[in-house]
Amino acid sequence: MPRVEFKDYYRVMELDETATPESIKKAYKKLARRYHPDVSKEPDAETKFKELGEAYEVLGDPGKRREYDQLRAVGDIDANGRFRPRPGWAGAQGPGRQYSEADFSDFFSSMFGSRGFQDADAGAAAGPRRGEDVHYELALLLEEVFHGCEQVVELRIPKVDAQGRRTIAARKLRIKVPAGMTDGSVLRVNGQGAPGMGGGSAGDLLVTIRLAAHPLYAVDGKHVSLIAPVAPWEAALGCKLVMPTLGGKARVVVPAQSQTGQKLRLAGKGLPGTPPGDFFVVLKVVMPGTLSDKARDLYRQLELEAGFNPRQSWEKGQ
Amino acid sequence: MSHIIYVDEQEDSTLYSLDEVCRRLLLDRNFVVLCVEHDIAGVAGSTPAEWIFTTAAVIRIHKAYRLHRDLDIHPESLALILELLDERAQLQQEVASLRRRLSHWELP
Repeated sequence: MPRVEFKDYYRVMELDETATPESIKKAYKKLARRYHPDVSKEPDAETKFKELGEAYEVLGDPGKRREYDQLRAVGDIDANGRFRPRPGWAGAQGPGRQYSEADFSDFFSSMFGSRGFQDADAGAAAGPRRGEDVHYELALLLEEVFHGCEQVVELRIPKVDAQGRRTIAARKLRIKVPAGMTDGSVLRVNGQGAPGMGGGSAGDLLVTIRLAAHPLYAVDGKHVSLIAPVAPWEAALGCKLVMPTLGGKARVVVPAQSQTGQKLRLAGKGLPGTPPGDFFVVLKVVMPGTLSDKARDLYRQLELEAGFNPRQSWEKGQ
Repeated sequence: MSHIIYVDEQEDSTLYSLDEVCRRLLLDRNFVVLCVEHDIAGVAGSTPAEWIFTTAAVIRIHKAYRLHRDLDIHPESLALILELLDERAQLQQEVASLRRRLSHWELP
């Protein structure tokens, strides 16, 4: 039998080997809340949650725990922490926590085989059964979402092997993402989920699109905005800008007496769709870094001529 | 060994009946009914026989079920927890987006 990596379930559960059944249960609840993939923001939450589920499956069951403790005490563990399970190592009996999706490690399978965990759905297994839907989050750049793209996704599909053990199969799929998908929208790929059982059809793959942050553009649903820096005289007198929209360059007329924060709308130039989103140019008045003596004089003239108090609202408030 | 196949799909717009949701997710009918009654997932239609679920609703019910199964959360508390999780995700997204926008207005 090949060597498999030893799993220290006590360490996974942050316990020592004298832990009582109550403290094991308590530790499971605490860590499950911390690492549950639907709640946790930790990057490896899913892996940790699965490890935790496996550890609790063993330590939470007195029979399996006894067996594990014996192995832990006498185990044939090498210097790299890998161990060879003894031939004929008995699979523990008795009900455990119900799992339907957990992919248990080789270490667990080598100890407890296919009887190691109870399949939550085992009772309903008579007759054909449709495979589970598989969920995948796909991070895309704004440019990819705008034009549409092809992406290869690497999936981990739960399946049942010839010995009846639940395993994970790696699969690569090339999917075509249509143009104009928004953050959080879902693509369905029929029949690419987990295989069915007893002649049942395969589940589907559901791909949720996640839009990566862009250094220039801000996105709100199908609307895209970009900040356009303008000089004070451009804002005062108006100007024409050539804007780099996602679909190419577009001309924009900035009206005279524009303000910082003012938005100019380019209808239909956001993300494609029916209807398409809009593209917003947000003006930002910026000062030149340096001023010549002549420019300074011109500003002094402007100060006298305009008679403008930008802080008038403060005086009103007093 | 991994293989590559090519698929070309459009945005999902599949709709499900109550029975289909139960079959898809291998869930007890009562759990799904509870999810609807507690506004965990919105449906169209007034009676269970008329209920229509979108894919987003099915995904949400599945998530509610995982939390119920793994963390022993009572179905009645799930609506609040999912609402708070949604709100947290939305606020985190908003903060990230505002930070990015702010960085365009500040001097380096």
